[in-house]
Amino acid sequence: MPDTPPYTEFSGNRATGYVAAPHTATIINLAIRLGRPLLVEGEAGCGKTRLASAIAEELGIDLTVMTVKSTSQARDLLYRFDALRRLQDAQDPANRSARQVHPYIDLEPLGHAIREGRPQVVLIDEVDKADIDFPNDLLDVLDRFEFDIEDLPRTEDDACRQARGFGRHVTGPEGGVRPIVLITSNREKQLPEPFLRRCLYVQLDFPADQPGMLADIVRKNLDARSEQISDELITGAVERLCRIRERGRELGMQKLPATSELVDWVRVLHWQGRKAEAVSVDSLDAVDQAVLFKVRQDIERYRARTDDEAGR
Amino acid sequence: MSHTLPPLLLGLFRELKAHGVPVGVRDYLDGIEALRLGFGHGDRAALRDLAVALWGRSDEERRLISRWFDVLPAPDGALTDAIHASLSALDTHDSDGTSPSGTAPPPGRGSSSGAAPPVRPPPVEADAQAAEARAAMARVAFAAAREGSGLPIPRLATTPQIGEDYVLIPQPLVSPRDLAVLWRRYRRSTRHGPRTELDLAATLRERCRRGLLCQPVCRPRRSNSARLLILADASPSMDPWRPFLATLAESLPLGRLGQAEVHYFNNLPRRQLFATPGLAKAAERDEILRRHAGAGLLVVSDAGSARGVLNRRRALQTATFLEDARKFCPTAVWLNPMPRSRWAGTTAGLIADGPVRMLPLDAAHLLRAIDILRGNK
Repeated sequence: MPDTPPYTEFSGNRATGYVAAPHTATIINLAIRLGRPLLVEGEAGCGKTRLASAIAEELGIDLTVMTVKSTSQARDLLYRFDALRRLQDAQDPANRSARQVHPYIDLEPLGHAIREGRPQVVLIDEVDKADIDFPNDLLDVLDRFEFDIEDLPRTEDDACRQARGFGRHVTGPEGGVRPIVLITSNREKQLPEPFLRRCLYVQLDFPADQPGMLADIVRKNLDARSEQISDELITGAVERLCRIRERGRELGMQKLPATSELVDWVRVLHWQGRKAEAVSVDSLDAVDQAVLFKVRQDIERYRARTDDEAGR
Repeated sequence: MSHTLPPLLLGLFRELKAHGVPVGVRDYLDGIEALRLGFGHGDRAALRDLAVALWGRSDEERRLISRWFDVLPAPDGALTDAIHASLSALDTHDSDGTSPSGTAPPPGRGSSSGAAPPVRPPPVEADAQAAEARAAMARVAFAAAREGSGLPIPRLATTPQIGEDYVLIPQPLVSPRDLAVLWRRYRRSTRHGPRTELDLAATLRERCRRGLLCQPVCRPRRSNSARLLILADASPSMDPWRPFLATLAESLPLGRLGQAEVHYFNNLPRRQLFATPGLAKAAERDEILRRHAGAGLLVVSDAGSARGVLNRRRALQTATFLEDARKFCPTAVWLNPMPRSRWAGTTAGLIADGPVRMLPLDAAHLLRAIDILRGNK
């Protein structure tokens, strides 16, 4: 590892369309400097995934995204062995390449990132969707930033290195740089303790107590889409959304509206030519409800409460 | 490069260790490295945030760290000012170009206006003074009276903040994840189902035999065919362990077992078993046992030890049930959530002397229980 830091400092507010809290930016800088993966948790719609693109954009480096599926295995992020194609090729006696394994091995995004050793952001999205063994299998790779291609026979190590540029043991080049690794989780499954210990942790909360920052977030998102919307509408919508969330929390809603819903809502209000003052928290119309709430029970509960209060 | 940093945060680190937080030496070294890189400087809150980011992974751990900082005595104002003055003077001196590389002064330290410009000391002496002053500053501000100590000390001299120290959070006895991992140890790996996996050896044989390959040979995937029947006591004496029973039921689908079911009973598995902990949806006990013939049997019940009563009739009936059940389920184990010391003189004590092994409910004995279910007596 070189002595001078390969990454510039992340301030959290220079990317288009994203504002990170100062505390979050500090933890991200800490993770970058210590070379540790960063686990990002928080309620849905608070910008966990977009944080990765904001870091990449601000630091001017590439972003590699890997979305985890319920069937994903740690190996799928590193490399792929195409056994079927090899079997198919083996049918042709003239095809001599099928006698070796290495032409059928391809590195996957994380494998590439480790091998290239250049500054970049690697996002492993929704790690909790995979099986409970997945984070454990990934632990060692993220710790040492090297891995073995177990499907490649040791006898083909040199041949593979010459033909493909990587051997059985894949590691970064001399003087290479560790990528910044971000892992997001929705807490669907509990993550193993050693994995949590290895990562630095950041919780993205909805900044309900910072209306100024919320308005900034909305403004940045709208600027990125080149939409001009008045400040009165934005601040009015922010204030109302905070009240809706407060009420939603009292009602025990499953999914409270968050930042992404707020941005959509402001745009909808703008398109409809409505003013924020005209929106009453007590009587949201069907469009507002469709934009803000994602669960049917939540809509029903909110409606019942507002009807109750209105004495209907 | 030599580090002259004092053992900052050592007291906190030891306290976390003493509370069973699984932090290691590497985490501590990362803390030292972060301090060296300039994180956590400035004030106590910044250092606390750094400690939380590095070492706090659950709400409980974050609270532990915050509390440690809250109860630290405030540093002596006059002494801190003096150290600040001397440090800022040295910083001015460092910026003249005599500072060794890599030991940049931490950001955020304000310069003291009242400090008289000191006579410039020789460089080596200046470095030593700087290190000494920083060490003193660190001890006074952060580690204070408890530096070097580690064991949790009862601290009720000051009134704890209500809402901070006495927030009781229910902690699961065993997490669903740990239970799922346990179930995965209960394996009987067999191949069955649709032929979806390539059988390479058979494919090669076929190729050699015919001289050409029409289609690859497939075989069923390996899967776990281990089956488990859990009978859980849902009587009022088991109320404290209701959350555990819920976790148990929740973890089963994650365990990748061939077949796994939980049924409930009240005190003793009589003729009927129930599908819910509220003892609803009854089904014939013998029918259920017949359906699970060959599966492992796990019984979870305090067997009267929670109330400390001895009921010979219940013990006899339980023994008869276990005898009947073992005709269908050759491997059986009993988990009793009460500690072993409370079994003697109760119905549990009598049942524990029977042929079915009774184990207390903790991580080590859960492992043992799985071992017994796998057939290792």
